[in-house]
Amino acid sequence: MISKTLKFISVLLIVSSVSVFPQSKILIYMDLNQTDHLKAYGITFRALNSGYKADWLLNYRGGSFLLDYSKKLAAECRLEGVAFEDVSLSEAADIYSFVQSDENNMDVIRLEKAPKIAVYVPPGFQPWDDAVTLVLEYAKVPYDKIWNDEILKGDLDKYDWLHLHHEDFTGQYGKFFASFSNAQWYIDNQIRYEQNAKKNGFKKVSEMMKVVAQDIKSFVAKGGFLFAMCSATDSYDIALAAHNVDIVAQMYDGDPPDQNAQQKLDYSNTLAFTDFKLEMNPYVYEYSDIDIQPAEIGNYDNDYFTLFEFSAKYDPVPTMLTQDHVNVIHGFMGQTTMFRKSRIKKSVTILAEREGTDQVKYIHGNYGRGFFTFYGGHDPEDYQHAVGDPPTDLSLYKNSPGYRLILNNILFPAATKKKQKT
Amino acid sequence: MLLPAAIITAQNNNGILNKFSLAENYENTGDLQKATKLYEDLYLANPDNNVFFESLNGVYLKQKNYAASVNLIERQIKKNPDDINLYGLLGSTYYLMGNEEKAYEVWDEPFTFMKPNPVLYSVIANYAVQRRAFDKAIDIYEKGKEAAGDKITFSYNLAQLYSITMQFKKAAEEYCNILAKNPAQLQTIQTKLLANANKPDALKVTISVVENYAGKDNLSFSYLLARLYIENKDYEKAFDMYVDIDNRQSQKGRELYKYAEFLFREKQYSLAKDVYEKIIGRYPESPLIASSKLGYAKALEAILMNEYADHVPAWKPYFPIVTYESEKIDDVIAAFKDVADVYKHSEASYEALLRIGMIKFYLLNKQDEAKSYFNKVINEASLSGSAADAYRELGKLALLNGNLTGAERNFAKITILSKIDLQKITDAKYNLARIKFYEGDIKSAQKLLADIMKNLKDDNANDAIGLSLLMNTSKNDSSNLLLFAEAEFLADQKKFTQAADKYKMIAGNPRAFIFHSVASLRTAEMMLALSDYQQAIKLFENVVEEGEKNIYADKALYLLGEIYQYGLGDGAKAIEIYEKLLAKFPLSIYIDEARERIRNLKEKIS
Repeated sequence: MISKTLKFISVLLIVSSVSVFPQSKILIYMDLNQTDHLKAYGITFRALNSGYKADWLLNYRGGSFLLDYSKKLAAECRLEGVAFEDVSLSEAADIYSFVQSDENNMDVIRLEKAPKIAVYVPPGFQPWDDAVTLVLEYAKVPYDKIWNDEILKGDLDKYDWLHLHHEDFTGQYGKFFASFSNAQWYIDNQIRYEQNAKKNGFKKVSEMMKVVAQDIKSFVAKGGFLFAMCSATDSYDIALAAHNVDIVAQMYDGDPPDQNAQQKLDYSNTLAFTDFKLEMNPYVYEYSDIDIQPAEIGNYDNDYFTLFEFSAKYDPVPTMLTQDHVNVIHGFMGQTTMFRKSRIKKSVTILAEREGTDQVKYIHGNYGRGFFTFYGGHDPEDYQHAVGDPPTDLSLYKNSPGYRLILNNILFPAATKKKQKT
Repeated sequence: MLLPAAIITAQNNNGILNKFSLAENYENTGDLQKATKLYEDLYLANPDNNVFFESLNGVYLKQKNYAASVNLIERQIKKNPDDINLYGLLGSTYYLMGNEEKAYEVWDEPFTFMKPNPVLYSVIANYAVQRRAFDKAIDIYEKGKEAAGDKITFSYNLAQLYSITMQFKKAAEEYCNILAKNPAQLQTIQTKLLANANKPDALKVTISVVENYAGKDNLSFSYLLARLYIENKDYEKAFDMYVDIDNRQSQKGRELYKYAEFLFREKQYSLAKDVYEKIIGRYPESPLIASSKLGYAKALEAILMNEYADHVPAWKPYFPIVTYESEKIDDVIAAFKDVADVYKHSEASYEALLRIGMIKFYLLNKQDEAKSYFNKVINEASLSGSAADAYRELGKLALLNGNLTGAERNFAKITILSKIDLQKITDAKYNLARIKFYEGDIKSAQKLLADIMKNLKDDNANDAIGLSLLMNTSKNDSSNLLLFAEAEFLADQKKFTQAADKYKMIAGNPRAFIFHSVASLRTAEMMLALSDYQQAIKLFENVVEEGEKNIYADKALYLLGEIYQYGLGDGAKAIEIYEKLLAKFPLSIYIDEARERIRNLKEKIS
């Protein structure tokens, strides 16, 4: 009886703390009935920016959002094609009560302030696109583009969330030499990096990238959120491990690599990976044995990964990161497609993997006061996105579960930190 | 026992070769220490052998043993002080060490004691390029250029380096220097300059450089500049350049014609028209005159049709024939007549006649004149590409005038023509199905529609499904079906008032429940066609109020929005209506269009 009374009071507290006597609420449900999952995140993000409070109902109807009703917000949902329901305050109270009930693996996470987002992207033409930038544009989530200059002068302090574009932090220009060394974009890209390194006082691009990688690590340590996909995941950690050694071949930085590069790697400096073996052949389009090779993945039709289910009340962070309307998702390739489980540090949480294999798709961990999430593959809706391919039109993939995982990451920093249950 | 000297030498040589192979093997397998030892032995035993020297230096560099490399090369320089490659190598080692200053000093050294020559500049600059010391390479080539009698010896090298380092103005200067001396290099240089065109500011500065050269006698600059103007979408300036080129080359409009065709493809109709006109006016004897006249007529027509599209209330589902008065019409007709005369009995001639007929029909509402043009095409060239279109237009004319027999005859002709686009055949079949429907021959109409519905990708498939569904579901209500067919036929004849009366009768008949929805909507659409907006609004609102009972309620709401947007110019009210559509009918097929309208209107209002 006492516990029931307490539960009722806690629900009342949530409802009344949302705002002063709102008329009703907007429930943006995120299950299979949602018409545009991706834009739903944009609506919520912009609502936070406009001063609304939002509650993320973890595991409730696919990880729904509950916001104070306003005509403007409802009109915006309709305009963007985001399905929602008007719910009265008493209905909202029922939902809160249901979600917070001990019988259900659900919880309410209050979202208060939208994070300030930066995307690390080189200036100029790139013959590939970036899933995060695509989905941020589609969902109309505002973000800034930054590059080495901004990071090296300390501008990361202005941001809460950083995404690493499809990037090579080892200074090997994506290891595209064998295929694209004569392509104009490759030549332009190399000179752009070299000039940038020179401008910032570095003799070699690889040296500059190590410092950039270290600065990003400091950003995380101070409480920043780092999200990386594709080759920005392993190449970033490799750059951190190689902080004291030259691993780059002559055609990339002008001088030969250290003959004992492998032995000199410092795994204690990385965020996610350990004990990996470098691919030192400069003509091979691969950085190390962290990445899973296409031959290991096998048939396209069988390439699915499964999201782990976490306890919403005890593990809210991984639960937030894995909110989706399905829990088995079609795989997709990239320069870095998936991570070999044996190369992942024990401290890192695995969020999704191919069941029955050592192939891990999606990982998360803490460093200092911040967090990092790595997601393998290039484009969740284009199985083999090649250099020069046109960007994916997300209006054709409004309900993409793979893209949803990216967007979970941008809302997760908006969550109010609450005491861990014991 | 003494062996002959030759055998000893041969054995020695074999030993050396074996040792060298072993060293290479060690190097390739990554055992650099053993390789170094063997290379050192080989080099010390054969200090004049360049292969051993280079291999040893290479293996030192692989191990980042720069001090050993410096010692080795300096020792070699002492023996061969005139070997410029050694200075290149030594500079490279210093550069790898990170000592740029010393590297530059070493690379400069040969110039202090050797007589400068192009090979010297090239060799040393190449070493700098290999190390990606582009600024130093540029410096060396610039000095080489200064020393050379011919100022373009290193221009390609310099232009390439300036492009790489994004100094596009200087790159353009170098390429222009080459072009000034050698106009035949135009294609190569144009390709190289255009490769830079998409880089920030490159095109702008390149144009400014080339403009300084273009006034000179060298025609290659004019070609280059015209191409750069096109790249910059500065079509007027390109036009001037091509006029100039044509003048100076007596090409009778060849360059201008190519340019006009390009402009037409780019939908730059107005300028394309001017260019064709220029060719026709200036070069009446040119062999390109006939093609230019056709191009001119098509460009004029495209301009006219763009204006006409703005004049027609295409947003209404039905609207009366709108005659269009424009001075341009006479010009277009005259131009097509000219083409028909020039190309007599050709495809182009019949296409020109068809176009004249269509202008007479749609823009001027001169139906008899239009008919005579269409008939001329059919009578003179029944197998031409324009014949199917002429039959189609004759069918439409007949339908408009209530002549079902004539319409059926013409549409039927299309279905038996050979070598025509399949889509034209299914268009004709759909029209035939409607004619059969108007005639009350439901069975024949259904058969034709079934034929169209076999291919659901066909443009007419949706309409065919709609009409077929209506006929199927109203089998037991034949009186209302026939009344509805009559109303539809009147609407096709643009007799909107009479059609509205019949639709009203159906809508008001409580037993015509299948037709109620569509007839209510059509009644409102007829009022809209007559521009009776107040009445149309009222009727559309009635349909909307029926909500889920009327399957056209969403369309009615959408059309209401359009009345406010286009008919009454009330953007704010239109937004309100479109937003209501989003709220009430989230699954409507008009949703995406409504969203787009809201965004555009909000942008306009703000």
